[in-house]
Amino acid sequence: MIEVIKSLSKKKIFYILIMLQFIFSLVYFFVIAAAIQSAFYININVPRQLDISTEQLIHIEVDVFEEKSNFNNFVADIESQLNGKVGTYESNVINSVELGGDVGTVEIDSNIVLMKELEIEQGTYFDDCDFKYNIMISDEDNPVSILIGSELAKEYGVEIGDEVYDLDNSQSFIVKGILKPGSKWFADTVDEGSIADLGYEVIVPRSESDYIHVHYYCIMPEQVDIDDTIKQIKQLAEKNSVTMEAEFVSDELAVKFSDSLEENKNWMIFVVVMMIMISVGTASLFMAQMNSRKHEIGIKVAVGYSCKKIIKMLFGEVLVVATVAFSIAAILGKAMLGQVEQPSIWGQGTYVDGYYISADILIMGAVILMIMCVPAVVLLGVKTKRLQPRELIGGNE
Amino acid sequence: MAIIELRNVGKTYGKGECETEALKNVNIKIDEGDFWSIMGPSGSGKSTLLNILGCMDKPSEGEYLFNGKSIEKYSVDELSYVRNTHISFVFQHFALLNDYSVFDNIILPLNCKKMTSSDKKNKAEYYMKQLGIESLGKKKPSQISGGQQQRVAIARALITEPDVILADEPTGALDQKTGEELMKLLKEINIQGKTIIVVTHDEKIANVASKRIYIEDGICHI
Repeated sequence: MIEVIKSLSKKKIFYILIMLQFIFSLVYFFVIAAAIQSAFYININVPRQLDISTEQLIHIEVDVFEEKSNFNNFVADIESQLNGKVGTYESNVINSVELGGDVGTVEIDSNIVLMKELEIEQGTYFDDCDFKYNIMISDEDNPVSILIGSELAKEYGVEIGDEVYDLDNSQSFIVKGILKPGSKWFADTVDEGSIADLGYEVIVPRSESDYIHVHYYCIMPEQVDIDDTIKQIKQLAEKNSVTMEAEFVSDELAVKFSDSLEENKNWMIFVVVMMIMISVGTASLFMAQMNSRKHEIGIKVAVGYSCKKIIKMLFGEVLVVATVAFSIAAILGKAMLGQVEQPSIWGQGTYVDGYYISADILIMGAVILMIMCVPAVVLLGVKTKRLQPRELIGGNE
Repeated sequence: MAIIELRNVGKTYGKGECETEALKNVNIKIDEGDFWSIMGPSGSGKSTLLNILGCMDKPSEGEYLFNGKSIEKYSVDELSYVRNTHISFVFQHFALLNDYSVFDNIILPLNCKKMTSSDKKNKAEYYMKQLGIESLGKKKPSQISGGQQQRVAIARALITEPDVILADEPTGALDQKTGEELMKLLKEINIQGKTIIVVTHDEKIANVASKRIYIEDGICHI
């Protein structure tokens, strides 16, 4: 090993160049592989997170400038004519001393838990009255019920019935329940697929129709006709002068998945071509270097180095360079793509969207790097076996 | 007992019309402690003979016995072991690694042996002192004179305590005075019991040896 390191140190520039090639191609691979992983992650994990089929869930994107009464009529029509339940959720923040400062909140409509249930560890879930509070009078005498994440409760010693005050909005809250550890929610829209951990989040009930939010979810009964339902929702929107776009979440996910794969497929082909080129280039560089090292190898053979030892030394050099390149690429890739769990914009929460370097990607990267080294290693082996030190003495006289 | 014995050795390079017979029917017996010189004009086959004697090449025909054992069936790695343990080389252009320090050049053959770093260091220091190059350990070969480089090469040759030292034109790249000093040094090493074989075309150098082979057109005359 010491000899390999010594040998590497004698040819710094050559090995730095090889290493840079490996690092560049690996980082590129990691980024593309993470993007593809993210597509699969969303496609697999979003349906798993939901309590209903994605084919029963319609994402309605409403124009934010619509009249509130028009929208309320539209929702009432959906509920009565299509038996659908409409609800929304929104991320926000409260600033509470009792909860250690800024805390991310998920404000949920009463209907939205039909899409994804929240499990309670201690206390109880909201009841209907909790969704009918008046934000203007929610003071110490009329606190709003909230559910808090288990880790947040544990860290700040918050218990059921404790009061929490939002300094920014002068609003009082009372802890009604503590969520089960590992509770999850969607950090953004459902089809975005970022799954937030609610351990450090607060769940707040949204008072009904305070204002019109952009994204709504219509939870439909089982086995609805997709085309017909969308058509009917559009008709109801037109009838109530609501500008909106509606799409089944299953369709959104399918489109997103195929778009993401299609987009990344080309990049992945590019990465593969680049890696093949780098692999061939590396083999050529090693061959060229081998020719320039004939003298060194000849001397080593003459003083008694066995063919095995020479091959071991050369392989060792390739291995060390590949290992260092892999480690640097992994660190760079991780730095570029961030952590597995992305920090939430608000508060101390985190979310996962699959866009990170997983152990699987690292293993794939290592295997690919090994494959990239194969041509160089094979050629080195063949060439070394053919080496004769007799040139040192004067050739074939 | 003969340390090296060549029986009817021949060496042919190439095939068909390109076939060249570099050595023909060579019979040599070299005893332990001998000092031989191999002389001959350029292209006569002396380097081929040295390659065969140094186990860097195998004869096309005949038999090569080293310490009484035929090397014919030795594998490449077994030949490497013989080179590392029993035979050392001193080359015309020193064959030192310019990226390595003098010290690292000297201990190069010991890297094939299971030895601790301190043992290697002690051995290298001993031979560097013997050869008067103890102050050059950290220098690179390019930073020292030709005579000093050849002493480094001899230290490297001696460090494995070989039975035979093969020197290919060892004074070829040195001035006359340094060359004479070097031959004196080889003679002293020979007196200490090492078998030495020197390839040269210089009559004066050849005279230092006690036995001589003259080679011409691949045919050896003793």
